[in-house]
Amino acid sequence: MGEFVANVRRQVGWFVLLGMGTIVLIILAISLQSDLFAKKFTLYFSPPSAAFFYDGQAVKFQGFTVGRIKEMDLQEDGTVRITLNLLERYHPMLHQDAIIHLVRDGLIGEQTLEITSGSAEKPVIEAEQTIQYETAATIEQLLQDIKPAVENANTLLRELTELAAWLNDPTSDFRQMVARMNAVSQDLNRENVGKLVINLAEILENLQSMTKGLKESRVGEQLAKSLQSTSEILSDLRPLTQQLAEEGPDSLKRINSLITHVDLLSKSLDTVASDLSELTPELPGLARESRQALAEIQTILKSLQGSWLLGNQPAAAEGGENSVAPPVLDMQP
Amino acid sequence: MKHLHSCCSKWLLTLLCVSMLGSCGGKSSHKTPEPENPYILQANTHIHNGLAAMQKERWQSAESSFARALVSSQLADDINLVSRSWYNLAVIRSALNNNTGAEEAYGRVLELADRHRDSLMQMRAQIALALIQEREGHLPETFDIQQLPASLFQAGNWPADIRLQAARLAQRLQHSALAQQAYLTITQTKGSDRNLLKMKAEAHMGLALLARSESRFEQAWAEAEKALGYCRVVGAPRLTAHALLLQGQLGIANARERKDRLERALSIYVALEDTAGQKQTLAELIKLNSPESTPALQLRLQQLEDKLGKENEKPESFSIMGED
Repeated sequence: MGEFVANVRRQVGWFVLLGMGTIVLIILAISLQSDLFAKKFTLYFSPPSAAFFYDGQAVKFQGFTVGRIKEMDLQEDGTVRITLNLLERYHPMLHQDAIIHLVRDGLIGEQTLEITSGSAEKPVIEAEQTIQYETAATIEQLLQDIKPAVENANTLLRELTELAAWLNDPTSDFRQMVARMNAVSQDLNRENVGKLVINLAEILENLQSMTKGLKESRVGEQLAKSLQSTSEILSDLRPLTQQLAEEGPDSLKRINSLITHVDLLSKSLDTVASDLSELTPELPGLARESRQALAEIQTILKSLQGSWLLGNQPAAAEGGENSVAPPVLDMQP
Repeated sequence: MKHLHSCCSKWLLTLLCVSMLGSCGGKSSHKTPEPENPYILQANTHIHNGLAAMQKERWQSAESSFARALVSSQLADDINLVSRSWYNLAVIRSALNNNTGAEEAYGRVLELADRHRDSLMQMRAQIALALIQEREGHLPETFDIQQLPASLFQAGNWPADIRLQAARLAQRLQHSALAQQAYLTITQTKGSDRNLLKMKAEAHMGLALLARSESRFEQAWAEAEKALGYCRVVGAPRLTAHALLLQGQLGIANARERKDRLERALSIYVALEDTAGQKQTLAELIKLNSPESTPALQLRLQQLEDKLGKENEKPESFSIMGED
């Protein structure tokens, strides 16, 4: 009987030991996989604001995750200090003038931190060192870089002509965008007003990227300004359309606001067309295509507004008299 | 009471559902895209651009846009658009002081309007042409403003721009009663269109000029004030400067207020590079200012007169407006 009990004890002991060993092995495997016990070193950086950062945010180097944000502190002097925990095995790759900056993988999506190696001639970065944080160039900044003053007007005109040719190419992104926009507007309802606005945003983003090519041009600068204001309007417009899709007649106030925004957008596109009209006759035509699509949205929104009981009456259609120039009179006393 | 509330809400809900279904049903059918004449689209774009350029007094740009609109409308063979394009071109040529070109363009409008029985364009072009001829001092002796339809000077169906031009013509031809009547009809026109508001401002300015010529200075001040109100809404700096200059010229206000108006007018004329306006305002300021501050103003006036003298030596100069 005593031998039987001893056997059972031994078996239970082995069972418990094996179970515990397995658990320890799993923990070890996971920790090795996730660099839990890997040797790490610390770096600091001070961005102007902690708005785009969070604890555990990945830090990438050449596309590889080399560490994470350990903690974020607001210093006594009001500055932000972020502590990075980076894997020691990547330490030799980072040099004294390494820079850290926020990048976005696509136009939308989460932002990640990317660290650059710095120049190879410089010594390897020391642990606990504060590295420089660089703000990624935004579209607005890029547009501001388009400097005024044209020394050679011929160069500008040639560039614009090339641009016009590219825009007129049926396979160009811009043309395809306009086609998509038109397709959506064929069957426009509350749900796909949002889609249309997103398409418009894409078109304008394309236009913005094109203006980067217009180097040292005053016209380019003016166009950029117009597009920037248009983008600002669109950024207001997007959340509005999402709400509009979700809500019913309660969103009447928002429709009114949406109409105002679409009007503003339409005027902004007019400015773009007007700015370009003196240089190439083709470009305003393209801007006009966008404007026509907007006019369709306006009509549909106004009819929606009219059908929802509380809305205002749709505005009367414009007559042909609007195409006649008003008189220019000499009224000097 | 509760029962009444629930009944009302049920009714409202039903009505709401029906209207929503109606609106959705209306939109469910697929629109088939209608083919559009690209030349008409192009012409409209150019006209739109020309009108936008006009608002900012970019006359050269407006002229090139309207010239392109004319070509596009000719390619589209749209008579209405061709006629309007010629008219727009004539307005711009007149603003650019190219009176020969403007008269030629108005002639084309009259020809087309006569051939296609477009009475509105005919009247528009006829009055605009008479205004140019009167300004140039070669208005035909056979022209008599009384021959124009009386409804032009009364509340009729004529567009505001035609009535405004008729009023201005009557004013220049010393038919004050007719001019006043026509200006008043414009000020009473309802609407919030930018061009209409600008024309209302011009009508008030016309009334102010009429009142001043008849020594009704208080009314002149009030009308100029109304013109300024509209100018602030639509943004018409040149007309603003004219109205301020007129107020500065009126002796009914105290010297301080007149000086303020004149200085404001002068700043606008300087910004617009309108030398004629600057000269007139400076002359008024010299009259108004104390003797110790006058030499500086006189020196400025002398410089302007020298500049104007040089400009007058050039063959074509703008009398009404500045360049782009």
